[in-house]
Amino acid sequence: MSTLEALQSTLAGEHAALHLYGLYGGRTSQSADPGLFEALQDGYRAHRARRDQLRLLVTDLGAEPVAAAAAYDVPDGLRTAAAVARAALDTERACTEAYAALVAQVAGGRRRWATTALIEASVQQLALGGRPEDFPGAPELG
Amino acid sequence: MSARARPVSRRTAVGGALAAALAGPALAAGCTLDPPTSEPSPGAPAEPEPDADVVLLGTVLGAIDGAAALLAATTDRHPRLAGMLQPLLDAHAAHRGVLDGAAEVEPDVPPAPTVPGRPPLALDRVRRAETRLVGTLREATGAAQSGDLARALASMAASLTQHLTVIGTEGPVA
Repeated sequence: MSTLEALQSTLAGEHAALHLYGLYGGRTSQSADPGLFEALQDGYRAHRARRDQLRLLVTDLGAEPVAAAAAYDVPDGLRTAAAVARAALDTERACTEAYAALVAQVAGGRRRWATTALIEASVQQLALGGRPEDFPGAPELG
Repeated sequence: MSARARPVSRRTAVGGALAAALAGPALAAGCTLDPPTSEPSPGAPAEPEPDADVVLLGTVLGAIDGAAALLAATTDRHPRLAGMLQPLLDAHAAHRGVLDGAAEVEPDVPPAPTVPGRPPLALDRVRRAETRLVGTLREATGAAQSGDLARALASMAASLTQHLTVIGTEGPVA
């Protein structure tokens, strides 16, 4: 996989994550579950910033950034705050794995940026009920 | 921090448990990306230079050993902190286990750490040591010739950052 392909794949993942975070936020009551609502807001902002940065990185390589899909698969059973938190944690874990993979595929400043994104996504997992792991984004190493 | 690194082959340098485990990282819905490949591709990092990554591993192992020695000494002197710090010790052991399988490197034995007598100060010293280790892992991630090694080191930095975040949210230590 080339650097451009890796960046485009990660960008496609961020499009999906943004869509899902918007959905999770819409299913969460700010008054009844303020902690989860704040975590989802923080996550949404972080993913939006990373999406924008990935677009720039792709554009810098002279390519057209991949667009968001028309629709995405949505997790079933998002009827409780606990279910939403679990789904958001799954999304964040998927993104953590994507950034870990991106670290392996790029070098220099892009790798440093991907490492920061990996760490931020790992910390975001904690706000969604996750616990520290030995190898965030690379669970097969454990 | 220096380390004695024996010349080893590319397979040994980034091999063993690390290479075996990196053969197939899990994929998940959303943010999916193909697993890293060992095949070179245009635009991807160049084929690793074994000696450079072996030296890097020696530095990282030495840093992990130094932080682990401080953790062990801290829990020995302040048993009340053991419950809070044991997960960090376990993480260090897991990280070392992966890197041990990746290269025949003999890091220098770290000097015996000194532990403050007051638990809050001891905990603060641990936090600062772990933060420095995260920095070392991030620098090594950027310097690694092997993408697979970089991925493992970045994940370790993320793990320790998670632990530091959890420790930071736990109550004050009297």
